[in-house]
Amino acid sequence: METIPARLRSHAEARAHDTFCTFLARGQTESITFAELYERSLAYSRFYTRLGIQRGDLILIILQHTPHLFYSYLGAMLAGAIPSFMPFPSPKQRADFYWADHEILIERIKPRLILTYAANLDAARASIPNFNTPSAVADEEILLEPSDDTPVTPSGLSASPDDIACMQHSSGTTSLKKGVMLTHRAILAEVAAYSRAIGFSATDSIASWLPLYHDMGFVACFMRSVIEGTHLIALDPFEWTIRPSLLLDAIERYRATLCWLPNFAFSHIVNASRADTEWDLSSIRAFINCSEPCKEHTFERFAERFRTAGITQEKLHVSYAMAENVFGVTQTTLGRRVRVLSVDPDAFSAGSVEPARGAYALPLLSCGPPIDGVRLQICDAEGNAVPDGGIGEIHISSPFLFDGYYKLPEKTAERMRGSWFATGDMGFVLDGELFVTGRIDDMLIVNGRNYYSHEIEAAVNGVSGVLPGRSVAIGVEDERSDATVVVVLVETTPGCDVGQVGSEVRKRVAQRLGLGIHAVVPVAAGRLVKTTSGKISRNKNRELFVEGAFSA
Amino acid sequence: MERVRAVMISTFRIPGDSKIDDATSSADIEGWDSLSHAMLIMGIEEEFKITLPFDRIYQLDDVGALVRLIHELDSGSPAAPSGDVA
Repeated sequence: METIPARLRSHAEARAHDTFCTFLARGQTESITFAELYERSLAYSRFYTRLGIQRGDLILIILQHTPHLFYSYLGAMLAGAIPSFMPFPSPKQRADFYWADHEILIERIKPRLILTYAANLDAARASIPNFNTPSAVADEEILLEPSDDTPVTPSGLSASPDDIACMQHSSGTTSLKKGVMLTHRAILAEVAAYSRAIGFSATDSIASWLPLYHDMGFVACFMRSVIEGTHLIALDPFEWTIRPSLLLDAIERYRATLCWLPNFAFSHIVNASRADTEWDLSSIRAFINCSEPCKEHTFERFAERFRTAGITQEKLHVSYAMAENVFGVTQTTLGRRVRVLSVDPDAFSAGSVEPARGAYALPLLSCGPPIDGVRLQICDAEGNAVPDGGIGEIHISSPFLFDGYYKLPEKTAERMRGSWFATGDMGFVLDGELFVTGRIDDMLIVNGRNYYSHEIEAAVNGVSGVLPGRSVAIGVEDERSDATVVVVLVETTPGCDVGQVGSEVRKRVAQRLGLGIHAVVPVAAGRLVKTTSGKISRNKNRELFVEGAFSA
Repeated sequence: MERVRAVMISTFRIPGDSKIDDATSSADIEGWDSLSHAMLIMGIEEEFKITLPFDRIYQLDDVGALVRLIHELDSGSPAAPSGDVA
């Protein structure tokens, strides 16, 4: 069994002049061959070695979306170090809040190096007292340094398949992030199994606007292209958000065959595609919906809008994935329309799956069968397996499960049930296919990123006019954008300026978490419903909000 | 400013008499998030037949900055503040 650096070198030797990546940003196109990818990654490897980085050292990479992400990350692997991407502060996020949020994380994981830009390091030093993590600035100079003073064979090329290759930081917005440790063996095995599930071949090419700090952009798109030696067409996530049709332009121009998107992105593309513009998307084998609850009507709208572009329902697919399993857990079968169950909404609310009887049916999209080697078990609250069709927590067993959360053995133990991993997601299995129905905890998935209600509520605390501890952040479906949006219900002090409260709540959450709040709903003191233990109930208040109980 | 205001009312589906002035920002308008920001930019570009430079779009802190950028692109020179029209 080989390693990722070995695979990288082998592609550089066998197909030096083939294009690894076409990188599209700000109207410019940069083409990177496999030889260039390897050489530039080696330059970073030498840079790290000169800084004293050794095998097993953790490197946090905090860069904007440029090809330096690729070189710095693979360079760290070549140096035998453990790289981890962290999100770059969003344009609306205040740098001091960003770094204050990361202070606890940095203290816990103690990276051997932070690689970022000079201005971002200045912000870190200004925000974190006694900031003393070794840091380095990523720039073009690194690629220009001569290679004659370094070892011929980078340390990472002699790594063992069971060494930790990298770390993905999983859900959570701040100090709660958990570093998911993955070995070379696990990543290579997952990529091979998932590639089999989608019939991936050397002629495939992937178009992606996804950030690399998230498993879908990192593993499904970037790592797959590196490991399989195929063409990646990469766009900047921020630029894509403003101009979603850039992705369609890229697919058409480069004849991309695969594209992974969270559910909201399907709708965003439809909403923002000009009615008078047509594309040829016939090269696409599959758009794969992942990382958010997938909706039937989203697929219907997408297929209808792009029918003349060559998109049919048979090309729209679903995967269930998580960083703890490298990426893929299940995948629907390409070439076949995704199965949709019409279930009875009342029975479903009560916790069981029954065919719809009345006029109203709840459509649930299948996430497909598990990929090779993965097994699923649905468990009740006591951890007992439930029969097919029964809703419970999704547990997985897999040959490419993670090696635990970095420096958090108690968090790892909380999620493991012997060799099974308890995902925290709810769902059921029917005829061998998985259907995901929700989360156990209070995590909200907004535009593909994870936020916790309690973090949003903590950011709201202290806003003038909001009663301390009397707010609740809930996720609701916005019909217009077809995305999950966050609504904050706040109990306000009598006589306060509710417009001002709303504005301040939005500002605070945007600055601290980089998250846009859809609506702030003021309610009178005492209106929010509590649980029997005296806490404000997110579920109950969400239900009341959806029913319109808090409308003026 | 009136044309910007009309695009905002249509994009965010807010009441026609909503207070919108130079200082209005995303924090003041319900539903103005990163996705609807893209729709606003698209609406502005269609209305004024211009293309807003990507690197400037994320620097827009408020409506006044947006209006000034439109004037700049329309006339090729920086413009004066547009004033309160609410």
